[in-house]
Amino acid sequence: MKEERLMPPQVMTLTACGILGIDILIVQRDMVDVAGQDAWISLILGGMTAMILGSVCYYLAHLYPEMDLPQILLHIFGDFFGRIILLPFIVYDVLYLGMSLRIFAQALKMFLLSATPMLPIVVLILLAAGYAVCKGVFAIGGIMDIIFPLCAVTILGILLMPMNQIHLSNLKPILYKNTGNVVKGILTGYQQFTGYGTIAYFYCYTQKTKGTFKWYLAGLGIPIFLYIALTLITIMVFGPTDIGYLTYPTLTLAKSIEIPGTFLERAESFAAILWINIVFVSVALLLFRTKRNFLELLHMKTKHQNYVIWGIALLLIGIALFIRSGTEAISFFSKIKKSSRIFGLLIFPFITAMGYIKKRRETRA
Amino acid sequence: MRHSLKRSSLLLFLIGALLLTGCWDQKDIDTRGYVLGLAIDSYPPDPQSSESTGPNQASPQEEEKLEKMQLHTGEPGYAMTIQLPILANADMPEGPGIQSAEGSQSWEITQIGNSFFSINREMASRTGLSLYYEHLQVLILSEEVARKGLINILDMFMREPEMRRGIKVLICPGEAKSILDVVPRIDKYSSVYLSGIFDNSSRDSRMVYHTNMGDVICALHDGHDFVLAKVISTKDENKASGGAVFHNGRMAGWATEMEVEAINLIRNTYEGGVITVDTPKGEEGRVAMEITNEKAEITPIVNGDQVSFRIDIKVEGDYSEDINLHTHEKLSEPFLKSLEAEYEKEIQDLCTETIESMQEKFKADVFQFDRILQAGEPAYWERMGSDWNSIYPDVGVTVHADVHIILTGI
Amino acid sequence: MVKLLKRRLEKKDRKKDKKFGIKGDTDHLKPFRLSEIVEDNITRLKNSMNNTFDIKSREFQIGGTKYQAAILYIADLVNEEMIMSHLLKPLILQSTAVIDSDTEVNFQSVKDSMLSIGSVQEAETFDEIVLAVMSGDTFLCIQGYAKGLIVNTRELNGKPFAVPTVEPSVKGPQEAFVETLKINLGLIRKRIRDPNLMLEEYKIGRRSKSESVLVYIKGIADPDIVEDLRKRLSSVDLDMGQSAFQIGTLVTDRPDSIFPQVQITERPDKLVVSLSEGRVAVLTDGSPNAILVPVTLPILMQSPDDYCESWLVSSLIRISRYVGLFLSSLFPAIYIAITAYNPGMLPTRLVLSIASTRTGVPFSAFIEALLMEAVLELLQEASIRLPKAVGQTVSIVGGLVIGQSAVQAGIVSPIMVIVISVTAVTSFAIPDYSLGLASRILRVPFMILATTLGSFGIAIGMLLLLTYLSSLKNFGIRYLSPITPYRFQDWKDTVIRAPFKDLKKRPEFLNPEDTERSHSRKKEKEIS
Repeated sequence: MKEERLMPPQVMTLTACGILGIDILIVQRDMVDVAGQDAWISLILGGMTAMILGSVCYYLAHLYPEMDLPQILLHIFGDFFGRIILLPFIVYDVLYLGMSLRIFAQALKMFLLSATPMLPIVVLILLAAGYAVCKGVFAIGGIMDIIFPLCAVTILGILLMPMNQIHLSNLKPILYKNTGNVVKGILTGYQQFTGYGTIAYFYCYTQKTKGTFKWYLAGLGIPIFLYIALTLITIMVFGPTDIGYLTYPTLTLAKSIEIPGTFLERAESFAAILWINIVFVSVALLLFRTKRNFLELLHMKTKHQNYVIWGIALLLIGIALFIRSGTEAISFFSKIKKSSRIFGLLIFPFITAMGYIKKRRETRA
Repeated sequence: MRHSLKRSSLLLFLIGALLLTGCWDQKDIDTRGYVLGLAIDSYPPDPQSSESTGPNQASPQEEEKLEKMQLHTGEPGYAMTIQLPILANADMPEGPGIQSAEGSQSWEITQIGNSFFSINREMASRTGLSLYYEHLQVLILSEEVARKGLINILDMFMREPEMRRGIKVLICPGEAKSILDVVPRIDKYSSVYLSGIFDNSSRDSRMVYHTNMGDVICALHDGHDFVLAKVISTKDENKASGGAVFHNGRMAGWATEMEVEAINLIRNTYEGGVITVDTPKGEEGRVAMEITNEKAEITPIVNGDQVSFRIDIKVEGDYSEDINLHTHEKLSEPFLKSLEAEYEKEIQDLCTETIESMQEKFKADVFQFDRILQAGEPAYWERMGSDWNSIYPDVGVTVHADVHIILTGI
Repeated sequence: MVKLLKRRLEKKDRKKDKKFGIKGDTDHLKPFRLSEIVEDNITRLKNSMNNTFDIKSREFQIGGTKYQAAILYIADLVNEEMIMSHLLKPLILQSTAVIDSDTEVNFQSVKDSMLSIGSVQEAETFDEIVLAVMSGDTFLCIQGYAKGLIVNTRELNGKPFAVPTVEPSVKGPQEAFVETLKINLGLIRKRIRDPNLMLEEYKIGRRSKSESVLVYIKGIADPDIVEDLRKRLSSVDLDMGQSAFQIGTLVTDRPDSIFPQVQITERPDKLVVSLSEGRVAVLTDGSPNAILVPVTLPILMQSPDDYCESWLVSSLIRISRYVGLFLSSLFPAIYIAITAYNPGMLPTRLVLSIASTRTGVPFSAFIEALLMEAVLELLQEASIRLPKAVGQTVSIVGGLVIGQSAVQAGIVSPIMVIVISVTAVTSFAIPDYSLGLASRILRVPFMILATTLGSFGIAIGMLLLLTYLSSLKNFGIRYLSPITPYRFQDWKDTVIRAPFKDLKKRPEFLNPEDTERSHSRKKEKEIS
């Protein structure tokens, strides 16, 4: 039996699913708060930054094709320092995951299930994600393959259907005395796309064919394109001042779609199904990363992974429900996202550089 | 084998415990009260309001007992009326309680208070159905309420996730409740009937079509002025014609039908309509043209601190009807050309008059020139934008129309 | 520019044609010829047909002389009566007329006057002989002659076979397997006259010792799968086999899954097509069903009818089957979730009409659905066991009368009756009966999820189901191939069916050794 490997198109779906996440609900507000109606320009520039830094990450994975990120860290920096460097990754992943779950539960409560307490929601989605992670990488790959095209098509639908409500004038004036904000917004734009690091955890399972990098770039490019289009359309429909009042602009955008006469006249709950899937895939991937991190940190064998997974799940429930107030949760989440800048701009390039040096030493010796 | 059995049974128990504790949000479809229409009046009703149909005289005392509620703070200021469909009386082909369509089809409940959300919940004390607003079709405000200011009262409609952005906001002179009391002849519920009228905007341009909650909220947040549709009613009919002009979030006055038509022309929201002119050469007849396509371009002309606007309106239409026209050269080129000139003059006059009236009577920039300036001339806007309220009434506007008659019927 | 492109395309064509000859025919046997020694011939012929167990040979002496002769035939395909009375009998018992005691046996006289059979031909090369034997003829060779005789002993018709009951088809052949293994093998051999068709025998069951045969095409099927299956079949420890399905569960990794892990079929045409795609079959004596492995979900959704219509029509029908699969598990759950949790999704008039038909119904939507579902399942179970005479009555009574009266009595709402009936009907649009059962079983868990958590519950349920399906694999092949992992080449025959000229390659996900099915481009050039 041939050993099972992830195919190159799955690299695309995995990367894209790692980037799409709970952000899709709040990206517009984050960006418009910083850059006003030129938020989409910041997002384009931020996206390009993400592509460059993502390629750096890919290169790191490519240097050590049989190891995933925690193993690479331990290999480059040795057991002790490697674990020290692994710690911030773990902290970031766990906090990001916990707050993602929290915001997801809040949004769900607001739009779909208003009386259900948050605990069952969080537990159920963790259950589904944990089950997927228990089944292994290839099961996760299979799920992404099916969910990703579905979600992409639905997002395109949400983008195209409000076309009759757009006002181009909402975008103007373009870049009028706003360039400073736009530049400030590049980093905010970049932090929407953190998730490209997932490739470092999956590269060891892929079929190492030549074209994999192209698929990776496609996997980066599609979410970037979708976010930019989403921001554009949202600004055009609502205008920058109104967006400031909306907690979840994407959901409000979906609510404003009305196609009279068809079976589902109001598509907003339909869009809610979409975003449940997106959050599920991002939670599953993050959970996988955390599991791998913990396994390497605590030097445990893979066969005990189930205990680790359910342990992490309990921890996450605690984090998600810890903060009581909704607005505090959202601002804490933004703070966590801001900290991702350090990872992308400093830590990953640093690790890649060290990895490159070590590899050269190894090949010379 | 034993290990996995233990594990799966533990999991099953967990899930079961979770799921069996609740169906927290489940409400069967017939236990919800679908609010189709909402009307807001001010309370106590202003005895001097013109065109007031007056409160229902039949049993004012009894109704008032039910309608009043105890308040946590302040005095009651608003009377909110909702319209619920009576499903048992609905004329449905099959069903357990088959009845013919007798009895009234809808139930209007009024409640008096000073915060809409608490009024809404107080209604639960009068009906067993749990009120559901996702199918709300229209929101009707009385003139009094509108004059007090919209931003004051629309917060619940912005915040509540059940409220959609497609709800039509309408203003009526007199009592808003009377609009909901209309028993329409061809529809079951007056809210649905009323909302359906606005789907006809491609036929009649004198209605304000874009009167949705979403547009209102956007305009209120951005500080623009706007026009909302006006509704008047008799016992069994509604008419939507004309509009209410809003300036700074408060109603400033009524716009006539023709003014609304001009506003539609200038703001590019003209969906379709008819313009009639007298024939040239001073003969007796009139010609009506149906406008099929219309586009207006507004160009700001900035001159230092002065700004003026030039509006170019391109119109395409069909020759629909002539009355009392006795000439034989109906369809000749020169005749059509002279007609076109007449139409152009008519449109230009109409628009210029409307603009002046808006500037002088209401000082309301319902044409949203300020948005155009913000987008097109940001330098000027930055300098002078904060004074727009005082600059606007003196701004000069020139209108040019360009009409083409395309089809002539036979 | 156009010329340049043309030349490049032609170069590609030529390269492709050079690589593959059309495998599976007997051209490669052309150079082999018969020798004068009978034993040699028989052994070599048997080897060229891979020594399958149903190739029988008999050596004898002609008419009491010392001249050796032998016949070779395939037991499943020949009319044994004819061989015995018209071939062996004359040669063994009655041939003294043509033989002098010490002259050599005359080949010509054997051919002309000893065989009382309609068609007799001479043959020298292996390819003719193998083809003839594969078609049901008998081969006769005589010591000392480097040529032999091909005698027509084909079993034409007359042996009984069954009509397919569980898997009917509109235009396809109406033949199904019977309980006798020999006849079933004959049905397969009739359709595949390829010497590479391998049949391997196993005896399963300590008491029943039923013969099971492993069938595959050498050179197409993945040898790893075959090896795996061989190991499992030889290590089966069973008292008496109950059904083909039971043997099926013994060869899979996940016998307890509700989704079928082996495909059971009663149609030889389906089996033959699957063999040519690279799958492997197991037939058992006493069972009219054959087991096909490996199996994936898209394979279970295919039906032989798809290949009898034009590609656009077939593709649309296939898509509707997938819709049917989706609806048959989820329709009641979706109805409950939408009406009880999110009536805002429906148009206002629809909501009001549904709500008004439900006024007066005492139960919640979930209980209604559960009641109707229970009645439905009982009806379906009952109609399987009813004698044909009463079958129709029960369906009419059950469907119309019970449903109608329940609505009139105010126990259920008419919309619920519609929902449940549509669900019931769509579950029969699924070609594989076991898969249809699986989707029926999933209805109730989804309904429970829908009633406790609305559309969120359904979404979670679907995600769990999707995870489960993605993680299933048999014989190393994922259950959802080729939908995931993506194999774009294979998508031509999954949800849609591309025109035959585009279906030139075998499905990749089965890892066949020989990937090309046809080289029609070459043939088209020759014809035109």
